[in-house]
Amino acid sequence: MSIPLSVKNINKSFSSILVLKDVSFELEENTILAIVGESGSGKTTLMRIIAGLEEPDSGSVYSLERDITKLAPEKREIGLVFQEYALFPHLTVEKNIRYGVKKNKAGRVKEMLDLINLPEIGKRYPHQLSGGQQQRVAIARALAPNPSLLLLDEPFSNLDPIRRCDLRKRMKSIVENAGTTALIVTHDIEDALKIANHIIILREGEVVQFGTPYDIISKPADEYVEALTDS
Amino acid sequence: MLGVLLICALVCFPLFLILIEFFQPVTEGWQQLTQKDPGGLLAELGLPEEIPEVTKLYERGQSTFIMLLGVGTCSTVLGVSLAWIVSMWDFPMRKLLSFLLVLPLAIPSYILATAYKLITIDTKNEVAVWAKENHSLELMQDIDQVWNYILAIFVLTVGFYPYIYLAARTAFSTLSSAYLESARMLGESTFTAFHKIALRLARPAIVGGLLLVMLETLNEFGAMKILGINTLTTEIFYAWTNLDDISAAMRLAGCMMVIVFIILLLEIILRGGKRYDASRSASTEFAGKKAGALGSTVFLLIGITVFSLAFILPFWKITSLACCALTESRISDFSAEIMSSLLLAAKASAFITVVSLFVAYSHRLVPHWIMQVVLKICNLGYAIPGAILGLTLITWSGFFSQSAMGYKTVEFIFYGSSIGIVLAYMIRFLVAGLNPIESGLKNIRNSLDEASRIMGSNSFVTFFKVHLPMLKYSISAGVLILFIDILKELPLTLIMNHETLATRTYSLFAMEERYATGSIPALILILTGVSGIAILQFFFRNLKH
Repeated sequence: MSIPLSVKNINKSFSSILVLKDVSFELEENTILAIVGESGSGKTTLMRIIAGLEEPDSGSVYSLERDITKLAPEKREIGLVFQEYALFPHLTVEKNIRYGVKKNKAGRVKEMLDLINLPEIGKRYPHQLSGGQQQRVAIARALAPNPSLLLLDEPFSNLDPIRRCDLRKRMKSIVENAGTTALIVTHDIEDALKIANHIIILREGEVVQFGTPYDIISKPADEYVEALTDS
Repeated sequence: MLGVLLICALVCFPLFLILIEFFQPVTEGWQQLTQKDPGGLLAELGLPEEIPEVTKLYERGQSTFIMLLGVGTCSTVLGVSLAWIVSMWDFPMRKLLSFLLVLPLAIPSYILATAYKLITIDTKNEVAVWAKENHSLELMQDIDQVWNYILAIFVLTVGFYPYIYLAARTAFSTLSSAYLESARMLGESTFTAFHKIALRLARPAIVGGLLLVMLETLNEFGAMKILGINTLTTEIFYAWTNLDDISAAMRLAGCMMVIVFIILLLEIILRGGKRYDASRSASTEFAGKKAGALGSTVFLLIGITVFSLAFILPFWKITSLACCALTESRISDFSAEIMSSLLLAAKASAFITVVSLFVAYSHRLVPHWIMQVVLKICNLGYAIPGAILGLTLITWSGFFSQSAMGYKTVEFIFYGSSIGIVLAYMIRFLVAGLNPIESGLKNIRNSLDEASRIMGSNSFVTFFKVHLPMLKYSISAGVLILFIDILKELPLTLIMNHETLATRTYSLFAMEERYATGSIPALILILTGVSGIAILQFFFRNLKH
């Protein structure tokens, strides 16, 4: 079985401040991994390194056994859902979704709109959608080119608690139905516990614990993780 | 990055040529400018009383300084006051007045100067005759000189105040109501709250507008010549055309560049290193305090008076003259100039926009400090007065003429050809093309670039698929600003020997004194400017949304 993502000994610093320290982990196919950490823990930097938007100082990133550390983002075949969705405001939903698709564009757009359960909004522009709809379109757009890995940056941070709960369920089913592997970056342990198969707890750039949600709750690695799950 | 550095080198080249000139032997023309009695001719003739008290260079420097001080001060007072009225107060027809007060920008300063010269000439003559008959010839000459200065300061103030008005209006209207309300809650009156909070927060923007006014005043040739004010700029033309002494003209250009750098330095000092972003933290933009009946009447009266003086009166004068002239001349008499002007403005604005897109996008892709410096240097082109720029480009052609390329080819390229003038416009107006595109690009979040790249498009494809369509209003606004600026441009076009509507108008007004005939191309220029400003208003409204 090929491994969609393998991160080995990643180090990264910004103006002499070390933000990632020797981070390593692997992600199995068709699973959801959540990286949880406070602001400044390095989780977004780690995700950007995986996406190819930042270069690590040292270490490697592998996708499907291929070293992609030096590969440009457009060549990595990774999908990314941005925190603020980053939908192109001058393009309709349909055109946003087909942006990265190479073949059978119309068919893929319909497939994706059905997947996110919004088949009727293709002709609308992003500003005509609600926050939740925008998020689902952003997921559809990222999934449309059929990436080997889907990255999601704080997918629920812009939502109120009621919509958050609803969208967590929807997003989990979308990712599972798409049959893809996903990595979610979040500061909220509850999101991670409800949605992920595996969780990484990141603190000041270091992996504190890597395990299943059950492991994190029942066998916290230290007081920090324990406090995190108690809150 | 290499391409951007090349453009930067092109902007720096005129400055380099000016610097070189100061290491060359002094010419006779320069001696006439810097010596009270060049060659001791007057002393030799036994006329020591004829030797002037100061040198010609000192006189020109002095009048340049008077104009800079006068126009700078008056424009600031007028621009800030009008901006305060339309953005801090709410009264009937405020929006219309707010737009009308920008319209004087549509009238080129040399047309404004001619209109006011004709409007005031009878009064001036009456005063002069009275002074001569009742007092002395000296008094008449003194009155004439003071009159010219006052009129020139007035004309340039009503022509240039919109630069400060626009900057201050934007700064005041994007101010958070919370700042002023907090100041009021802490015991300040409306006026002191404005003085202590709004004015201070708007200071960087006002100083930015003042910088433009100062640079435009320094660059001014047509209005000064028409109103009889001899400044360093007019002297450059004199040395170049009448004395045929390019070396003296280049040295004068050097003196002017010193003033330019002093103005740029003053801008930095006056800003005090502050670039507030009062709007970012603004919860609610300040909508303006409701003015009472008396207040509304006073504000409307002030606004209408300024608009009448700056636009209606000169427009009426030019229109009435043009109507008289249309019995003898026809608009088709100027069809060659209209065509060449429109074609040149279109070519140049398209070229400058492409260069601006290239520079701005390179800056976005490589946000390195070197690119920041390069961008600042590119912006410096606007600070180089048109006369100096034209002069250095012609000198450059002379420099090449001594090389193997052959004189005729090079002279053809730079003097009187569209390649030379487009290149000159590019150096001078790059900032006008760059500013709207840079701010348009700043409004496009970086995450959109990243989203595009993640989905398989490289930077080049992303530019065409994402940035270009999203920049359509910024680009259109930039093209329009460039088009109007180039259509109105005089000193650079004049020195580069191009026949356009602007040079034809100037020639008819200032050289041939055929005011009625000259009013026809002048009116075309004004109407083009007014339409341009109206369209720009539409673009900026779309940009805002």
